[in-house]
Amino acid sequence: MDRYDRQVRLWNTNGQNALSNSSVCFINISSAATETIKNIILPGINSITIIDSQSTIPSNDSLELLKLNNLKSNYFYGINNSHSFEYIAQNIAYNLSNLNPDVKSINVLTDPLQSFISQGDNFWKQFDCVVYSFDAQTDPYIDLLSEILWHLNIPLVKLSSIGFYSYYTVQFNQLNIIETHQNDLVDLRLDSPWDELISYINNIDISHVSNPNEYFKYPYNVILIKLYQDNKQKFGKKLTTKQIRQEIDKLFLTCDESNLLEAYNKAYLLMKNSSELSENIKELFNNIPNELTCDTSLFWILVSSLKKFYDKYNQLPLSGVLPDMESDSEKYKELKEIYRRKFISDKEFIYFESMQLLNSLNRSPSELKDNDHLITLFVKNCKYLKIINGSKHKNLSETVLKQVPNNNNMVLYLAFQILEKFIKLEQRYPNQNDKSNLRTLAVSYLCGEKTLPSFPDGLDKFLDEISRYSGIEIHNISAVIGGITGQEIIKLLTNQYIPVNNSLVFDGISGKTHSFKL
Amino acid sequence: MIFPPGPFTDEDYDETFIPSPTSILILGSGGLGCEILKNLSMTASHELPLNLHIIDMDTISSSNLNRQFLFKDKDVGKYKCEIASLAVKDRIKVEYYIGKIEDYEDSFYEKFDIIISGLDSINARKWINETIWRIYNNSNNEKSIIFFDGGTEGFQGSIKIIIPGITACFQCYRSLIPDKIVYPLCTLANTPRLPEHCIEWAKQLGWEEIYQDKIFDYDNDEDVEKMFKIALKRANEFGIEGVTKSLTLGVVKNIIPAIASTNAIISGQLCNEVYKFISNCNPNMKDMGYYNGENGVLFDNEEYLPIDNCPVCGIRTEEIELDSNMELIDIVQLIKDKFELSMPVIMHNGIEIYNFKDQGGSLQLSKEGDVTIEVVDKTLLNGMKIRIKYYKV
Ligand SMILES: [Zn+2]
Repeated sequence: MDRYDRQVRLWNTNGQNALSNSSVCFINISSAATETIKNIILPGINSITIIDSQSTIPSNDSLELLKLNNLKSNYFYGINNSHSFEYIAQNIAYNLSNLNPDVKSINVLTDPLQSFISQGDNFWKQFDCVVYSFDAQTDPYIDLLSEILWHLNIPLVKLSSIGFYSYYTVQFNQLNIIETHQNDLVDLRLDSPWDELISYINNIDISHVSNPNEYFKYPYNVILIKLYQDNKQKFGKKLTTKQIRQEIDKLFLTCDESNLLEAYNKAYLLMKNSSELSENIKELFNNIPNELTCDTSLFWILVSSLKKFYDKYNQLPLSGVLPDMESDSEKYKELKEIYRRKFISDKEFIYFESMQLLNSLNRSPSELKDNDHLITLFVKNCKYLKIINGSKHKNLSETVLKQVPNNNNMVLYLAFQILEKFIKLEQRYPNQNDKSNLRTLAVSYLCGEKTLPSFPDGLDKFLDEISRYSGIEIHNISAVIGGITGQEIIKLLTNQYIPVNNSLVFDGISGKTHSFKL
Repeated sequence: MIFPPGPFTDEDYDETFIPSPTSILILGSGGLGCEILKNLSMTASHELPLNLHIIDMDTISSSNLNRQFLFKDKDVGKYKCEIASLAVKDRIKVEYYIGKIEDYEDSFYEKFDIIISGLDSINARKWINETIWRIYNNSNNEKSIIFFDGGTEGFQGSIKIIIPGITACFQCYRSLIPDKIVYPLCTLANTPRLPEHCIEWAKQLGWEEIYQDKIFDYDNDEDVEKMFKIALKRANEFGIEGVTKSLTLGVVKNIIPAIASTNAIISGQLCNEVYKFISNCNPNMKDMGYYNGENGVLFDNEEYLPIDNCPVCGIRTEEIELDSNMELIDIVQLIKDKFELSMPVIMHNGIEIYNFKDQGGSLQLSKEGDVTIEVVDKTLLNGMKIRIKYYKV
């Protein structure tokens, strides 16, 4: 496990297990795709399948010649191999295969893509993610593939890299992310302590202390809840942050009680309304399926129970996560135990509600019993659960024309659309003599969309720049987009962090990415 | 790769011009270093000749293998820069140096046109930054080594382009780099609450109690195991849960999470900037780039201005007070004596008003107020600004 020590600190053992059980398919082996494969082999993917029928023997076709020429920018295309390979993908797979002995296999399939598409679901469902590098010959089949993968709910990534430019798009149906890693999960619940915490606090007296060491025992949340609750009871009114701070001021004996200082600084936390739902969770509750069935995922069963919890208590379950607080070891431990017990009882509610739901659907109780770790994660992260709705691949090119007048960040992506149209039309990449051809094509393409008022700003420069390249891939740019794609695949496979939804361009001239949803 | 002029290239760009070989030194052959070496081996060509050199003192350990792809299991224990150079030898010849960067003199670094850093140690990067600026100052601003710096942490990373005399230096960025967490000693000794407190206690106090003179070696698995046991015992005394061997290693070694993808992204963009800089085929990004891949993807860059009083590249500011009747020649004498200068050149508003060679010039002072002059002298590291406040007699 030593090999993965530095990354497991980011996505934990469950993330690592997800990776080591995942299989990814690559259609067409560009330099960017090769870099992507390296970046998921190193962290320990289970297996890779490459579909590419390009042979190592050049033909006279201009696109094939370019593909062979672009192997110059592919680090893993062995230049000194004693083996001779019939297909370029075999050479690359051979050189990738010794990067990580944990990877089970790198398969190369050299039949044309359409033969696998005609096999339908049965072939494609073995993968957890499919990555397609743009290529004029295979492009006509991608819409079909997109349909298949949409229904199987398997992400389809598309990427392309030319000269200093590259892009990434992803199609997925819906993602349900439990561990977004965007927050520290701390939930102090200062404004509404529960019974056990209230009785603990009622047994504490902090108002008549003469020995400063006595104060030091209590973490700041005890002090804050105590002052807040006492004043609410005595005077029937809620204190403002300022008033709480005045009350804390009165408690100081030596002026350097570090826990009181912390309480003073954190007093504003009392004003946080812990029963208010975030937009994330409102959206989540709105998306609960109307009818739960045998096929409803465990995630939605748990979310249904979560909503029942909220409807009953007007609160979400407690995470049980306590930050470090200045205090005595003993008192901190007591408090931590109280938070932990509340977390466990809240988790039990979710567990039993979900179990009832499963029973009512005649589903096996082992779905829950075998997934205790998942339920723990679900409850701990319940305030930050996130659903992301994606778009279909085939709609992307229509949407970009509608959205581009309002979004400058999409212009480079639009330039790529025009480039791909050019390649499919001419069966070659544009060169420096094609500047006016590219612009003419752009105008005719854009005119098809009547809502477009004018030629988008900067498009002509992007097209001129693209015509400099004659289809050449630059390794550095492939490295960047291959890094980004590798990272996004890891997020999708581990179902952690927040992935791009759904498009991104990298402009290697300005050194910037732009992301947008199409 | 030769590209004809494009819409973003400089007017003087000439794609037929073949530059003389560029000497590049890569600092570190770890996660970033392996990627940088691969990228530059793919960038070098007949039209863009590169002489590559790499320096690293470390040997390969198995926890490197999830990202340092030029190394295999069989290489564990061998020197990183040696194995890395061997791995790319089919594509390019690379000179390697086993050792600490601090062991080499200015005369070694002067040979390079570009230094690219893939180091994670802040102190080592500060050291090379100072070296680069010292070489720049000692050569009368003629030897300017361009410094490209990359750094990563988890899903985040950064890139700096540092050009002596033009951009901010590495030291100027110091305030943006967070300090590492320091736990108060009282907490460690008296009121531990977190597993980290117990581990830090073991490191600072517990180890010595048991092993006295034996120095803890965090690369030695037996030592880590012993440290873990001490921390665990401490945690059990206080009823604290969560001390594991992995956490122990993380705390004692101050481990920063690292993944292949972020290294690829940062190194790719770093080498892209190097390529544009040498070939001039497209403009460079602004000097400070940053990457964040935790929530979506953001790669962006902006200008970062030098810090005025930066101890490395900043100009020293001094104040003197005098009366407005003094002539320039007297002021110069006063400055020479006060700051022990022998050959000063003095500027005012960008115009030279005094040069030790011809000693002419004048400075018009109005009746009361202040004026700022800039002083350059061979004995000064950075030059200095002197604000002269003067009063009528
Ligand atoms: Zn500086």
